[in-house]
Order: sequence, then C-alpha cells, then structure tokens
Amino acid sequence: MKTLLISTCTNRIIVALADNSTIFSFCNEIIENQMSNIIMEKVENCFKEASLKPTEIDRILVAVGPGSYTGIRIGVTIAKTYSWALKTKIIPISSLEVMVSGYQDDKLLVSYIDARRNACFGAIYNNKLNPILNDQYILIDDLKEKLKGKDYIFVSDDKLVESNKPKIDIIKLINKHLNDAGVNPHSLNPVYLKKTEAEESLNHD
Amino acid sequence: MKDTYIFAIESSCDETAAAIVKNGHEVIASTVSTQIATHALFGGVVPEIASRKHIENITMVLENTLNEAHMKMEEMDAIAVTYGPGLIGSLLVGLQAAKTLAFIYDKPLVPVHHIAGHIYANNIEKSMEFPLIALVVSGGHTELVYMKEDYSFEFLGGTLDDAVGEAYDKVARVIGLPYPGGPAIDKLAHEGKDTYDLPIPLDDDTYNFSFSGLKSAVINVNHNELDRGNKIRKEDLACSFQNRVIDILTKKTMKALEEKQVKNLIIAGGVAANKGLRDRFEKLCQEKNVNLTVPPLKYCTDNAVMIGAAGYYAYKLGRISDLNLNAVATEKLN
Repeated sequence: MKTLLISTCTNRIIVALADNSTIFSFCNEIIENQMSNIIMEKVENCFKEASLKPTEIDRILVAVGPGSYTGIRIGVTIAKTYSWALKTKIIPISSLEVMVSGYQDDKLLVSYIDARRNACFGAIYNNKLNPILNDQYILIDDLKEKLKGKDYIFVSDDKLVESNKPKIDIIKLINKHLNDAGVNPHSLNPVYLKKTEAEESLNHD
Repeated sequence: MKDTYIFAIESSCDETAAAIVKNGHEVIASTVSTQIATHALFGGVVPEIASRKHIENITMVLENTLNEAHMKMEEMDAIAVTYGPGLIGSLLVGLQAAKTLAFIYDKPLVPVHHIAGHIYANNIEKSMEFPLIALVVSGGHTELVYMKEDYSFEFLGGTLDDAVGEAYDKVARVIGLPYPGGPAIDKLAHEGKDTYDLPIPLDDDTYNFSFSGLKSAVINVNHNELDRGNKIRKEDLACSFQNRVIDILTKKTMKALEEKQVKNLIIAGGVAANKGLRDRFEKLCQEKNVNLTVPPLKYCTDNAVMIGAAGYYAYKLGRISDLNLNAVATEKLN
C-alpha cells in the first residue's frame, strides 16, 4: 500500500512516499515563502528518490487544513488533480494532527497555527492521534483556559506561546488512517474553519 | 503534419476554465465555470472567495472538458496554463492543477500570459493577419499591443490606474446598476444622450490610459445633482461616460494604427463585447480601410480556449517551463 502524503498548510512543506512500515522518501522543510513555485519540484524529487512513478501510488493522504488559505489550496489542488486523473484513493487529514504525529508523550498535544488577532487554528490530540479537542478557530486565551490543570505541551512553528517544534511521524499517520474511506476528489476541499472577511461582513450588515 | 492538441487551463479571475484546442485554431472542447452570481452579492470580485470557488470547481472543469472531447490526457501534446497577470490566489489553483498534470503525464508545461490569451481569442477558426494592433479591454486590463508576427508582442501602452471594465463596474455602482457594470451601462447608454460635461481622460500623445479621473467626475456629477435636489438622468450619464471612454480608446488605437502603418486591428477582452465600442470601431475602420476583428462573444470574456490557442504558438516556439513555474499578479506581455 504505497502512500503519497502532502501537507502545505503552513510554511513547512511536507511530502513523503511510504508504505505502512517503510519511508521511501521524505521532505520536511521550512521555506521562506513562495511555496507555489517549489512544491512540484519537491514532489518530483520524492518520486525520483523513491524510484516510483505517479501511477504506482495507491493512496494520497493530504492535509486539507487548517492553516494558510493559499498554502492549503496548493496541496489540496495537487492532491485532488492527481487523485482525479489517476483514480488514486484520497484521504483528507488535519494539518494540526500532522504536526504532533511524532510526539510519544503522555501529555496532551496542543497543536496550533497562528491565525492573527490573538486567535489560532488549534486542536488537542493524544499520542494515539485521537482528537481530544477538534480542530477549531479559537482565541489563544480560550485555548489556554481549556488546558488549566492539565499536563500538556504546545506544538507549533508559530510563537503565540512557547512551543515545541512539530515532529512528524509518517508511518504513524499512515497506519492511523489505514482504514479510512476515500473521498471523491471532486468534493475534496480545504477546511478553512473560517469564513472570508467579505462573507462575515455581509452577514453582519 | 501531425495534429497538435493543447490542454489549456485558465483561472486568473472569477472563471474556472479548461479547453482542448487543436493546432491553435480548432476548439475541441471548452468548459467555463463562472462565479459572477457569487461575486454580484459583493458588487465585485472578492479574491479569497474566487480562490475558494476555483478549488471547488477545478477537477469538475477538467473532467467535463475531457468528456466533451472524448479524449484522454495522454493524447495531449502539452498543458498550457495562465500564469499571470491576475489574482494570485486564483491563478495558483489553475497553475497547480496544470503542474500536477504535466508531472504525472510527463507533458511539456506551457505558461501563457493572460493578455496573449485574450489576443489569441481572435485566432479561433481563422488566422490572425500580421502586422496588427491589439486593443485589450477587460475588467482587469486596458492595453495596446503591436504584433509584427505570431507570438511577438510590443507593449505600446496601458492603463495607469483603473482598467476600463473596472471603471464601468464602479460607475455602474454609483448610478445604481447591477454588477457587472459593462453590459448594463452599454444598454442604458443607447437610450440616453451625451449631455453631461465629463472630461476626456488622459488625452495626450502617449498610448497610456487613465480612467480613475473620469470615474471620479461621474461620482462628482452624481453627488452635485443629488445635493441640488435634482434627479440624475441615468441614461444620459451612462451615455456621456461611455462616449468619453470610447472617444479615448478609439483615438489612441487609431493613432497607433497610423503610426505603425498597420491595417489590421483586433479588439479583445470582455469589454470587446460592448456594442457602443464595436459600432464606433467598425465605422472608423471602414473609413480608414482597416481590417477589424473582434472575437465571438463567448471568447471575449475569460475562457481557456484563448489560452489553448496562444499556448499552441508558445509551444511551437519552445516556450515551455519547468515545474518551478510561479504565478505572477502583474507582468508586462513580452
């Protein structure tokens, strides 16, 4: 069961080719900006390194958000076009889950991405990658409130609070989603967790 | 000679489009998914909403195009895509889809400038004749381009502020007409008289245009009339505005034809659908013995057929890109 995993929801590019026990190739890099021009090269390099052809992939795991709207769309467009073209099974996963997948701690794993204005896209997972608090748009203070008296660590590339860097365990992610049902690529869409400002102000009028 | 099939994708603004074009002339299939109804709620294109709609629609548009053609992606010679100018978030969806297809099918990737696309909408079914002057007028662009031969572009001038279609949208909003403003003003202008004293914008020796001053003049007229307790004569204001726009567009275009000693004129872009503009150019071109071409209405507004037509010539000239191709919001045609 060969899997292509893509996550482009923050300034960290994650592309991997693996089966449920072996990683064939893995790109995990922080980029300065301009995700859009380098992403396909990273994908291409992963295929070269793994000596695999696009037609040899059985499944795509793609992070559909939350995070940078433009970033999410880059990965999701690649994944849905790929899945549509080659009829490859496609499974949406959370960018926040990807970020904490490498942590084995028994503490609550609090994953977040800065969403500006003292808010974040945040979630709490345990080390089995089961959500304790589902992905949501939440004020950072409200998130802290939910953690009172609990044992936890923050995981993020951002600095809203003191945080540990994301650790990514590709094999764990693949096995966690081994039996997930695939979705129709036409209906695979980003999970923004937030309406556009134009829509919000329209609703307020 | 072997036929060349280009699979083309366009997503620079609020239309998600794909097409298959044969040999730069023949439309094999074309799909355009427009978002006009969505953006009409906001009185103009909202970039983030446009991007969200593009990604929802992209694979359906690709599939529909292949189905309509009864062809497979493997049969294509190249993948052409609009890389700019346009809304970055919108462009990126089409661009990533094109790059993904180029990668998995190992096809050449052909970047096409959106304006080159609009110009090549005139190449469907019959070949453009060179040398020519192209006037590209749309919601995002107002440009005069000289072409000596296929895929050679000399930028003569363009708008310094609002695009002509953008000015139409804003004026329409001021006088209470629906979005998009072009068709509404064009229709109303034919019912009115040119009675309002509006300036001819940037009436100078350059090939540049400026429409923000004219737009402000309309806003002021509207404001002053309301202040005096008068009702605005919408049809007359529409007529006066449209006349000023057409005056300057025709004046500078005819000057370019004369200076470059060119007898072929093409008009392209969404505003090429404007009846007032077409009528005036037809009359002038007849007088000056200039061969005027305007694309069929459906290829005036954004579509991927025009990208496939332009992409064919770019491909034949070897203007292909690697997978690092990026989208650009603004770039001069060259």
